[in-house]
Amino acid sequence: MEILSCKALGFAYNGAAQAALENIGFSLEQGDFVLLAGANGCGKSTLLRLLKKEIAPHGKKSGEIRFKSTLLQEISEKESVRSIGYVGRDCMLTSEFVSAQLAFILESLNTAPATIRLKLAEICAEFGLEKLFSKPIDKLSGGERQKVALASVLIAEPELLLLDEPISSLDPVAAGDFLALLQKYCRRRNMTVLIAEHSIEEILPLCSKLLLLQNGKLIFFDEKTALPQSIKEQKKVISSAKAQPASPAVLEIKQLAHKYERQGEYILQNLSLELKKGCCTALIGANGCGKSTLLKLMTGILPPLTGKIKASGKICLLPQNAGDIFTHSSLHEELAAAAPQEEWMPLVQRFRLEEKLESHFLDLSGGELQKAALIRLLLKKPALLMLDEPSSGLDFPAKKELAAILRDLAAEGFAVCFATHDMQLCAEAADEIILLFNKEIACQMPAQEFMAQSSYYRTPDTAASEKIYTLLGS
Amino acid sequence: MEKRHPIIILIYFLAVILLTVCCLNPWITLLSFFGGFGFWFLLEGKKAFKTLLALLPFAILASLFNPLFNHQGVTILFYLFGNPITLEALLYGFCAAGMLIATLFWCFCFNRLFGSDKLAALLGKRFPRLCMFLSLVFYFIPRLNARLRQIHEAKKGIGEDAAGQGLKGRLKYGTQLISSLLDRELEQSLDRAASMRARGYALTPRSSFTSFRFGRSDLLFLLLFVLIAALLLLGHRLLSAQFFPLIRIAAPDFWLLLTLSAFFLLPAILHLYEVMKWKSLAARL
Repeated sequence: MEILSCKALGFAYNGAAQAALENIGFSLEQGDFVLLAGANGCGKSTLLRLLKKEIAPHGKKSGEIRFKSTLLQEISEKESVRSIGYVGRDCMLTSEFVSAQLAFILESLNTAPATIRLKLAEICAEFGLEKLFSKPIDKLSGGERQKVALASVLIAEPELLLLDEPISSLDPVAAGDFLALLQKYCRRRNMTVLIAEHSIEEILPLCSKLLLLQNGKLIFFDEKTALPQSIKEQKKVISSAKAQPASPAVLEIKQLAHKYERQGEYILQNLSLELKKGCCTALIGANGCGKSTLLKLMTGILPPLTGKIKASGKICLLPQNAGDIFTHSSLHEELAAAAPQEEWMPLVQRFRLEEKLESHFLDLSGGELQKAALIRLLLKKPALLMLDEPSSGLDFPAKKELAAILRDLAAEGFAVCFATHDMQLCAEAADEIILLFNKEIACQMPAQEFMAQSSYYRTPDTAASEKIYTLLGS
Repeated sequence: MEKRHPIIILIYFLAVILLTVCCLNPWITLLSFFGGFGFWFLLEGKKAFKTLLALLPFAILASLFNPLFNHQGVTILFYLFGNPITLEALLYGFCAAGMLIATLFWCFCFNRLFGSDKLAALLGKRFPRLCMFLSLVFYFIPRLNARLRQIHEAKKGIGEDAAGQGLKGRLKYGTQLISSLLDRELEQSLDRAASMRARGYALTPRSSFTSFRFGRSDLLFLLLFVLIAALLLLGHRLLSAQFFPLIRIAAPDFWLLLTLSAFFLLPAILHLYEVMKWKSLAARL
């Protein structure tokens, strides 16, 4: 049965020079699991929002969208809420407690409390949310939050599920859990799923069809096996392990220990490490192992409980929300307030942000925001540059650009250290890898050596991403 | 106390605060303070004393405020700027300050006990939209705090927090932080509103789901409460206190004191009872 069909769909935001979507036509059958891929800004989010009546953006729309042969505008509001579900990237959670969040959609549909109780029991059993049921939402981890967000939509048993980058800011373990749940649930109910994501490798095995957008135009929609094979396979270039000459240490830590509460457990214990000038170090470890805490201790945001930290130079930290360090509205104002133009203009030109100087920083894309924040940090002339999860939420080309920037900075003499769970970034940018485990440093060794001998932390196979992005770039 | 039905919690706290505020009797103020602070101590632990210490200067200031403006009373202590400072006014000031502190502690306790889920249980059936709106507000309060701290740490990470700056610098930094916070939260609130619309915020009518049911222990509590309230009403004349022109406070009857203590110390006693029961159960395992 045909669930969704778009014919000659076009859309332009009010006041925009270019159309966001042009002549999009495709149809989804029941049970299809479709991956929607494309570079940043190609119109993925716009398309997904247009399919959900309540959150459709305002602008000039042309063409038609049909849900089960009825025009989208003609479906009743209640039916639209119940049968089409939308899970976004952030800000999906709006209640204080998990129970209230899950029950929200059923309350909106005026379901009887007894039925709500039954449905809550079912969804908690299926998703393993029983322990979290009466918890306040701000105490949940990132992976748990996304599970709750998914459950809060699936509890109404929709027929079409739309997901907009649900796993982009999750660590690999949480992302795997989320996708496994999604697949199990949707397969059992033969649900139609349209998911927009950057991490193509994780989702490709689950999906049956692929939909590629480029600059608002649909360039490919078919079974994933029908991808044109004649694309030139790009060879991955991994930075060769430079034999590090003995360079001066920028940061030395001896016997560091830290915990957050007096009665609590230690987060880090017996930690000693050294960061050298001109070396790009990756700090890896499972979610919650203390990477962010270690970065904060090294920068001096948190004072350590015991142990010595000796730094010979300024240390700056780029936080996970890169935009947090800005105070003024536009990039130009921010840089002008920090330093004279001769200092920041060359940096802006180097990172190719001249056109974005007057934009509000909330309008910048993830990659652009990060580059802008880097400029701000570099203006402070630090000796050691630290980044907390820099590749979170970036798409494939932006990650490559980031890796290149980090390598260049290390070559220029900065000491760079970044905490990440993204192996692709490690493979392309890191000279050295520090693995954090069980409150201590499990090992510290050159990147090539580490990945060659590790069975879990390996250079990921990015062949599919490369293929698709080359297709998009052509 | 936390597990009582929300309507019980609401009735009790309203009654306690009303009584404390309306009857400015030093006995009531004292017992109310012990009840409120005692319960807060059981909920918070040793941090409760820090709060008390922080509030003490405020209390002393408030109590000294009264004699400066109120010159009624018979016993004159001394003259200040040509105005008599009387003992009665001073004692009235102390009592009023004590009443304020006691009420504050009861409010802290209420805030701790009454979350958005309890509010939903009360308002849900009649005012579901209002209740959802209030639950959004409750959600925001800890979030804003946490977000503010994140922004502060981000600025500290690049060395631009107000460390080592004078008061003016710190104030400017504080306003900068709050402005940044509002910018980001407003932006995110658009996404949050979209998430709610996508899940049917605009649909009417709306049902309400709660997990609180009125049980037997709630009924018992209600009966106990009604009993004590009745006794207090009967003896209410003994509760009145007069400060001006002469201090005339009725010497409290033993039974009246007992009833009052029971009234104010009820939540603390219930809490301790639950703790004891748990310890005895755990010891038996």
